[in-house]
Amino acid sequence: MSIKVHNFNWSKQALILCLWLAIWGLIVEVFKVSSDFLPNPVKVLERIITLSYEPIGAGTLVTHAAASVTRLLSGFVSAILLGVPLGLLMAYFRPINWALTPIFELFRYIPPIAWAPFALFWFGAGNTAQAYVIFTSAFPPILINSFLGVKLIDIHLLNAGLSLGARTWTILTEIALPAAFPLIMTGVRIGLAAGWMALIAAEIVAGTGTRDGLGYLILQGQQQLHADLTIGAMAVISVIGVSLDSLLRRVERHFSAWRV
Amino acid sequence: MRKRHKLLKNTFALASVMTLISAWWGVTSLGLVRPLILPSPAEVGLGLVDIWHGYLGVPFMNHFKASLSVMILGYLSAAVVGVSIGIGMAWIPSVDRLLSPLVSAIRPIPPPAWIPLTILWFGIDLTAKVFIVFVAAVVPCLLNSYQGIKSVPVDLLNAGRSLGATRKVLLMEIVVPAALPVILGGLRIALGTAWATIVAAELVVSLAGFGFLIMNGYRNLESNIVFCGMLAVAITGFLMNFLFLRLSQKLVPWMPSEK
Repeated sequence: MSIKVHNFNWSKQALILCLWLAIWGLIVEVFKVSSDFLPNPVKVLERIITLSYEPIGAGTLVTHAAASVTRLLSGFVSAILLGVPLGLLMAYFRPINWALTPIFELFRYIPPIAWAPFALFWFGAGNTAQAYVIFTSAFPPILINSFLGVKLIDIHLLNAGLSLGARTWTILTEIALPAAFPLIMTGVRIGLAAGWMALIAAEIVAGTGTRDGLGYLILQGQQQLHADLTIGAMAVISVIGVSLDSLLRRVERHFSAWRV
Repeated sequence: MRKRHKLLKNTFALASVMTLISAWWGVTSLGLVRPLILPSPAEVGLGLVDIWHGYLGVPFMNHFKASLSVMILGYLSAAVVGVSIGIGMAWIPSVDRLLSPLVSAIRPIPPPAWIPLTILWFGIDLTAKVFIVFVAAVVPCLLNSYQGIKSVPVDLLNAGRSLGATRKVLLMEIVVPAALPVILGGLRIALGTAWATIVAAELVVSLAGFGFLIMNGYRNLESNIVFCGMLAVAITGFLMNFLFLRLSQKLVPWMPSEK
């Protein structure tokens, strides 16, 4: 979902964003809004800064961010490891597609977070349960895009391989995978965004079960009536989300340098 | 050849679904897994009966009403607000300049992250949940409307202009109808996001709703209730999506149909 919203330069964008923040601050000051309800942006920023050296729960901001990202990665990486090969196989061998598609259709309408209770029954309260919830949300877009990536390959490329005597394995790894790469990466990026959303949901739903993670910080802010903590953690979550996405874009550019 | 293909495909589909269901039946009836790990079909049936008669004293229809009323109010208001702001941003450059930094800042916040702040602001009543659904749904509505308007072919615009259409006529009679398929795509994404978010919100705190069933089934270690709750969520999600597709094909005949 990379829709280009900004078609003018960055400094202007930042300036206008500051204007919005100023309006936010002004509303808080003029209407004397309680800071438990809506603190002004300066307070939120202060909170983020104090959080980086003052521990809450399991540790400081870095500890929580690291905990969340680690959880995300465990579910996300397994979604890639399973989703990409399965997508390729489903696209290449029709019977696999015929057999698996109806099963995926059965599970498609269950929101990932609704898996949380079963994940806890199966794996106990811990990182595996959260990784499973992230997996269920990141897996479908990765699988679907890998599948589409192969289905949309120019048939001439495959025929060229076949006529030169390539074996199925060679065709899959040396023709299908590179040709499908851009679409696979799109799926991976959608999967990352979906996984990040599911992770935060899981951390909030799990509530006080774990004592670390950015979702835990958000929840702490709510329970202790510190709106600045909640909003600060939300800001950190969105910055990390954006950074992870731009990291993936860089990976994508790096590996598709051979494309013109 | 085509016909045989279809037959083969359906056979595979039927076989794999049957295998899954009989595996579920077999594994649970042979007692290979504990009911907590995977409830048997019979237990799920009992769970449904339990919910129908009012699980934890909440009548069945209350869950339905709770989840759906929130969904309708929040989603419809998000659709109206999101689509009009999206169109406004795409059509009027100064609105775009003013709002797009704000949108870029809010967009990356995952909808569930709003749940605690919403509870802080509105408590746990209807307003709170409507707000959550609104926040979750408004972003895809807005982005797709913006994108839809921006990608209207310039030839269409020029044709209108050369025939002397005013800016208003251009927008209402050319641009918006041409962008409708993309706008509707956004509304459909928003439907899914909103539904997932309301379930997450009900998991955190609720007095009724499908998320309430899932969470209380979990707390009481009744995995069959959890299963029924998930089933209800999935069926409702499927029906909403189905109705949406039907409705949009009716209302917008020039909509490209699903492959």
